[in-house]
Amino acid sequence: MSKETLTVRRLAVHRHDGEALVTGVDLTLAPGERVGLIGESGSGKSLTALAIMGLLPEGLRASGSVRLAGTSTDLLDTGERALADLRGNRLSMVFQEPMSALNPLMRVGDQVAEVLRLHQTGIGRAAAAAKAVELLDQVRLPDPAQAARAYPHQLSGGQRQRVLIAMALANEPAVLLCDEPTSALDVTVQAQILDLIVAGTAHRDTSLLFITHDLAVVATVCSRVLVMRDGSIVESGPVEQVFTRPQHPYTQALLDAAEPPASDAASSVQKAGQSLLSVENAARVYTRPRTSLLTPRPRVAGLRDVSFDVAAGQRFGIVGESGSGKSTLVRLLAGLDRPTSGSVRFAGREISALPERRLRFLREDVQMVFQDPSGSLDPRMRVGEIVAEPLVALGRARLRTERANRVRDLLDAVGLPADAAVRFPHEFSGGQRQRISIARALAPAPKVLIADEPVSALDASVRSRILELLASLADSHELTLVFVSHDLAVVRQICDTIGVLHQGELVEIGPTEQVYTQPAHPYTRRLLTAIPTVTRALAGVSASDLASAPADLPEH
Amino acid sequence: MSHRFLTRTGVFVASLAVASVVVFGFLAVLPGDPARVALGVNATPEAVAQLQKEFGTDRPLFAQYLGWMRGLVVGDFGRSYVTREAIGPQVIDRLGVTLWLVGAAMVIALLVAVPAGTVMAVRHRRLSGLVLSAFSQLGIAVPAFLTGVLAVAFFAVRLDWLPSGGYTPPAEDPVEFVRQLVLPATALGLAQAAILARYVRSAVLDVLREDYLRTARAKGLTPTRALLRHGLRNAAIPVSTVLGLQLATLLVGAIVVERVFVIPGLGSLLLDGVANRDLLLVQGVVMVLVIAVLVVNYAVELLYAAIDPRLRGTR
Repeated sequence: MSKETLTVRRLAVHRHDGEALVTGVDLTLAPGERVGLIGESGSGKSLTALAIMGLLPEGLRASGSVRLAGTSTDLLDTGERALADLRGNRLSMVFQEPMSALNPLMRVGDQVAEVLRLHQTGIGRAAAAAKAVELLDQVRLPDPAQAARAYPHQLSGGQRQRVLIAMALANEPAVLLCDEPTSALDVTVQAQILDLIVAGTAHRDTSLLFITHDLAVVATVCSRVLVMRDGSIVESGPVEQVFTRPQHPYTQALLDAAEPPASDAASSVQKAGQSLLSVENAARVYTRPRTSLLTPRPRVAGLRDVSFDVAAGQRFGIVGESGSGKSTLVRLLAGLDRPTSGSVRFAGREISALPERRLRFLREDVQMVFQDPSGSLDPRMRVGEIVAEPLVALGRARLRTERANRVRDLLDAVGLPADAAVRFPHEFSGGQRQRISIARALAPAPKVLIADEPVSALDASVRSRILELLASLADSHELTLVFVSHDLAVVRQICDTIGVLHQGELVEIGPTEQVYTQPAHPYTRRLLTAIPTVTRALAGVSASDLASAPADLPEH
Repeated sequence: MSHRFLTRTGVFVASLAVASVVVFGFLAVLPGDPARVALGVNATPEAVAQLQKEFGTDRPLFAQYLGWMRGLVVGDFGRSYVTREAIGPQVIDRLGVTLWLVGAAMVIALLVAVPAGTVMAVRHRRLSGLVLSAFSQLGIAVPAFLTGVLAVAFFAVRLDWLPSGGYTPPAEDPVEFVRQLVLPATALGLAQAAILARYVRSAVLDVLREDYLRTARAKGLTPTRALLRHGLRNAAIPVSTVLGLQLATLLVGAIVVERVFVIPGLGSLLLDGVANRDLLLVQGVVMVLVIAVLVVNYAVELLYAAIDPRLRGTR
């Protein structure tokens, strides 16, 4: 027997109609080794992990062999009962979506204790509960005893992921599989979680298989990497070798997409004209529903005292983590909501005081592109109708032929074939759907395009093409771009000016390169520190380096 | 007490008040003066006026309403215009009978629907699940009184296993009480079970797709234990809404089933009252039914908070 903890040979996953989704995957994990599995969505990364765990969805079948040190049989031939004994015990997994991965009706301490009681015979209820608190302490939840008594909805996404990691590591597993464990988290929280995973597995000599689409994360966390494409491994080797001298063109393409060259956007500041959008001392206070009759309704500041100007032709980026007030600000700019105090002006006209029926000029001149390209397109409308809808709504291009021509031009402008007009949204990929959204936004020939996380749901390679499209359209259509994202790298690629939002405040604003190279505010510095990059990882920046926050900011 | 609890209680009390006005108002605007009806067409105006005074129907409507409400609070429903008997004791008596029937039907519905719905969900792609689904479709299509008549024909007349109807108070003869309750409660419960099972099925199907069930499997729970420990309680949240609505349907269904099985419940009392044009009796029975439905809905609202910590107003 080899000394490997996990040995996977010729692993394949088939649908029951015979179609192969994963083929010929070979991988080994040595004790304490951290291996990354990268690839874009649909490449079969998650299926590989689920096949190893024996948790493939109904209708899928795995073949090949999966051997775990210390067990005599092949996991693929092991019965459900025996597999269940291994899961959560010798073989653990952490999933992507911490918000929904915990039972909402059970206290988190009980959920951690459950995995202990399942696999450790003779551990009593009280002992398990005490151990659960200890584990929650190890994953650095503040006040673990209190946290153990909390229900999942009382914890943030990052805190929930800590609970899930505590659960996965509770029984000192031989192997931990992580499937995009930080993709749903803010970058500063991601840094802490990565640090936790590295420390937790190193401490227990647990082998780690880390699945992600993010090359920088793998470079930071792992020593070896496997590149997966269309269900098979196309390249594998030590991280520094694969990431510096990639053999396969696909790996090269992934690397290019992961570290895009800083665009020329930064140099285009000079063409900015007069102020088009102007926000002055805008604040937005939300009231939460009452929780008690005796106390007043809780008030939450969504935005406080935000002021900035966007000049015509500018590409203005707004960066912030979840809860920073990005969406609130976007709603104010688009005239979908009003500030509690302060003013929002478009082309010199105050919009915050106008009723909806008088905002028609804004609906014509300001258009939006949203994050979720599938959720923001009506699945029962043909693409042509979707794109033409703003024209119909605004009473333009009343003739059918006129509209058809306009739609064809727009589809052409966003790089879609003319026959796309008669098809339905579900027939297109995520990137193509975002192109449809952009075509729709451009239909009324707006002056301003507000893009709210337009590429966050897309793979890196598609992402850069959409960004290029947005940049070229902004030029050719003389658009003013307001680009909102949690991702600094994306904003840097396209924007000439950046505003950084933190807890409802605009803490920093300035030309992109200046904010990047000489961040003035500690929060911006922390944000920049926390971003993993391939280059920095290869230069030796570790997960704990990313997580080390400047001392002047509290952890959240 | 949480804010939510107080709001729900407020809504409950307000609904009661509105319902009482509606019930009272409906019967008040119906044509036909109770005194005139009681005395027949040949009565002298003096006699009618005399009886109106006795009934209290000569007072303004608002005063009548207040009087009726005041009585309701202490369980006094007034005296029947027809039989001159006190209505309160009759209603309370009959309510007890109906509650036994409805309660038993609900228990039967749950005992059938929860396992059947769960199996239908877990095996939704296999023959056994499909067969169960087909049966539940059939169960929804067949009305309770038909099931009742068929059950009587088979189990009571053909096989002579169970009595075909009647009612014995449990204190008198518990065995006979149960024997007599089995057929009507089953007839009433099965129709609801068929509907409920479909809701259980879709709730369990939803839960099976949840991430936390996958987490439970990854922790080392077998599929069955994962569903029992983490799934069913989550599935109970949408199901309890349907359950509350169904209890209202059951009360209405009981009226028919009580007729088929000759059970002296609220339903038969209501039908007798309608037949005799006994307005005050009908008013009382309808009000009790309305109160029962409101109480059930209120209880379901409180049940949510018991099941779901997210509704307990703790943040």
